Amino acid sequence: MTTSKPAEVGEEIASAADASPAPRPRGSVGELLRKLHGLVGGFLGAAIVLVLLVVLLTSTESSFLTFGNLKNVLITNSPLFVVAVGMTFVMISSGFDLSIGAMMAVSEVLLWEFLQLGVPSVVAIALVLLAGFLIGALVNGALVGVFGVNFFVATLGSMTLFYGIVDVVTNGTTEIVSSHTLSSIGYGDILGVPVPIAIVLVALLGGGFVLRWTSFGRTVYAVGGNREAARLAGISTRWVVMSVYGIAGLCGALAGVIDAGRLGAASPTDGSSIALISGAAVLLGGTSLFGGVGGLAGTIVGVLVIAVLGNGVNLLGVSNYWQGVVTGGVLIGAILLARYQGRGQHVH
Amino acid sequence: MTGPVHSGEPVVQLDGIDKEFAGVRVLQGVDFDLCAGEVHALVGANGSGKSTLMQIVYGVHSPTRGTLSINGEQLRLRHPKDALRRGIAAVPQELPLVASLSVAENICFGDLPCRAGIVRWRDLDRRADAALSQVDVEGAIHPRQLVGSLGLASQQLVSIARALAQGARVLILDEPTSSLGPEAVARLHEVIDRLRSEGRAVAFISQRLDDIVALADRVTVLRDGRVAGRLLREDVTPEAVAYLMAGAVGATGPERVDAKADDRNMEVLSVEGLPLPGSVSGVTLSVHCGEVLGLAGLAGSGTSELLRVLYGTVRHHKGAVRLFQHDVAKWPIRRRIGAGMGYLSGNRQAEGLVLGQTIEFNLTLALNRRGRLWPLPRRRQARRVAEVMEQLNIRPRDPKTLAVALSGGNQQKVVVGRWLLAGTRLWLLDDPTRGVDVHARAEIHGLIRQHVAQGGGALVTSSDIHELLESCDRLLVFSRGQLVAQVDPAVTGEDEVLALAGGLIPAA
Ligand SMILES: Nc1ncnc2c1ncn2[C@@H]1O[C@H](COP(=O)(O)OP(=O)(O)OP(=O)(O)O)[C@@H](O)[C@H]1O
Ligand SMILES: [Mg+2]
Repeated sequence: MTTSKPAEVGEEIASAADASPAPRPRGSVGELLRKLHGLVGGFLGAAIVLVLLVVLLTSTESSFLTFGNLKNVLITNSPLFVVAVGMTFVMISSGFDLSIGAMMAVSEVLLWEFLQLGVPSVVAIALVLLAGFLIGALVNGALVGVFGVNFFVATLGSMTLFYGIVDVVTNGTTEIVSSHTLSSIGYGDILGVPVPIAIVLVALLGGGFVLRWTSFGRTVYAVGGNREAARLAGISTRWVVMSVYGIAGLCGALAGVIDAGRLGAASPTDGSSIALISGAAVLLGGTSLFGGVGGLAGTIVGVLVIAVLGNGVNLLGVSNYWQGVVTGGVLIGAILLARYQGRGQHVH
Repeated sequence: MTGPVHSGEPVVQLDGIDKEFAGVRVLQGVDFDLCAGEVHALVGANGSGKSTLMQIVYGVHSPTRGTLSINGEQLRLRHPKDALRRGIAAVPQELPLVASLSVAENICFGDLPCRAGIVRWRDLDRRADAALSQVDVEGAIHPRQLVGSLGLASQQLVSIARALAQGARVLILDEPTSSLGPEAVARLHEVIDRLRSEGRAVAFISQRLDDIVALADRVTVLRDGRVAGRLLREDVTPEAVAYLMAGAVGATGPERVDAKADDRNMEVLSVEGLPLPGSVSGVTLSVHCGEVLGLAGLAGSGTSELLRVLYGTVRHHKGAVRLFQHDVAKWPIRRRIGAGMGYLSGNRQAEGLVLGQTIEFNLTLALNRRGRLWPLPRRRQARRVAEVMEQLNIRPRDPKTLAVALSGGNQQKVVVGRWLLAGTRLWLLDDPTRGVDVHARAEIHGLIRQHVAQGGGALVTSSDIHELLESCDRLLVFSRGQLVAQVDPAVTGEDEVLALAGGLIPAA
């Protein structure tokens, strides 16, 4: 409960006669937090968790902060990064793509088929990426955007369908895919940067450019934030939704190509948990499940939290049984923190 | 009219209230009190802090500094429920209704009549009916209807009924008349008079100065978050209030520009036999170059629907719509916008704004509708955004401000500004000045006229018939989906328009 001296109040009124309110200089912790918040947007909570994790691991494990380990973390998580880019688009448009992991399996198996048929591997990869985009747009995108099916139902259905088709084609067995191009995707370098990391950088920069600097990016935010307002402003909401699921399909296919390169194999069960994990990373990064806000900067932080966490439980030698418990607990904590600090943002 | 039944002690008292949002001070040392048996009006320009001050009274915000006392007891409210428990009910500016629930459930929300945990639907309907019948002149709202299927005016009546049903001793009404037609406003005035004579306390915000003159026992004027002046009943005139709001004699808007005489015969829009719900023969009308055409009608007259049909949000199979000689009847919205149409929905929050995004994002939404993959011309757009924000006096002036954090009137200016930016030539405006202060209202009408003079036209509806008569070249009067009359605003009074709209005078 606050009380204020009447005299003070009187003075304020007297001095408030005509001038317009001037911003007052202040230097408190609250102010600092606000500035930080302005800087990092809706993912302050995730950023704090990331810093804490890094500090903790650096101080307890000498092998954590080494070039080799960090590079390894990025490479292992490159499919997650790429998938999270697609998921960010879908979630900003207020959707979710459960089938994005299944798309990885589809693309690996397609790649295997194309190589079997003797298609040159560069062409095969291009075809697989195109197929990923088209399948995403024409299956998930059309179901959600044109037929108005709920995204959860639509992508759960397509996920089941995709894995089913993959099983039929491969009889459920892992097939060997080997080509020179693929192994250089998995293990090569470009200008000293491992190819998977280079692919992640391209995906992040490309996605970030589209979301922030183009009018297509604006339409994605608008459709997610207020679909009816977007429609009345002349935005073709169907096209936006279809494109967004197409981008998710493309990202899933790209992640599949990376995995095929790394493993030299097409696995019919690949990506079975990546949809939910990437969704959690995007959420951690401040993109709302209700759409309309968020961005890739936050997604990077969100994926890094999950990547570092996974690396940490390994380095610390947490037993397999406990890894899930630790990871889940930290994730829930981070999401709570993200929510807490995001509360000041909204009215009501 | 009943006189005030004052009883000395204020029921609600605010002392030295400061309120900051993220370091920005929006209220500064405001004192305000409310006594039983009086109507205390709060007026001020858009963004002056009226809603924020009242939200402190009904428990949405806590003051940064200063105190709130209820019945002499100093306390802090944490939630609107706290306020309700202490007898304070509110009709917020942005209606707090659940679209997917029925009218009755909304009215009794949080206090459903139950026995052993089972809702007694019959009692629910009865209670809702009792509350509704106080405000719903036409009896057009049914308790079992879904709120989402109602127009904005009806939704406003439902939320007023809800506040009345709560039986509070203190009622806070934040722009309750902003979308109401004349009859509903008159009925609301009666209701408020009755509440006053029952010894209840009413705080009332409105941008319609007629409301203030008709109702207020006292007026407090806010300007930039401070009290700019107070008036007692006998001193309340529209001029005095407008003067205190702006701190200057009100601007009359930009200079009036008319289209060149030889352009005026050109038809911008021609409509033939367009079906509307309730209409028998369909609507036929045309808009000429440089013309602002007003559409008047009571709630349910079909004027809002007409604009939506013209914009293509609803498919129609009969009738012809020609825009600049193109037959646009089958065109999708985005193509109509390309040809120069722009439609402003009467419901800015549900159908206009992307609330989680910035002013700049919202202003350029129609401009950036095409969804291309090349870089936006950000510099150029930023310049245009700054111009429009200046013209419409959108506050705060920072284009990065989120739309949620804007006051109601400033949100409205943003949705108007969107079409200024998009190069609109045929304006379809559903109540474009809802919640906008008097000065900005003149500015908006002036700007629309300027744009229209360069070879366009406008169709405007408003719940405020007086405003239509002042701003339009021609007025079409609608009643139950039928175009019943065309009148010349220069020689027609509000009463005559009302009589035509109510079907009291047979159509000429
Ligand atoms: N949740 C919020 N976060 C940040 N700023 C806010 C928030 N709510 C209101 N404001 C700011 O406070 C100021 C006062 O707003 P308020 O809604 O009280 O104005 P108002 O007098 O009701 O105006 P109107 O007539 O347009 O409804 C505005 O500048 C607005 O931008
Ligand atoms: Mg307000």
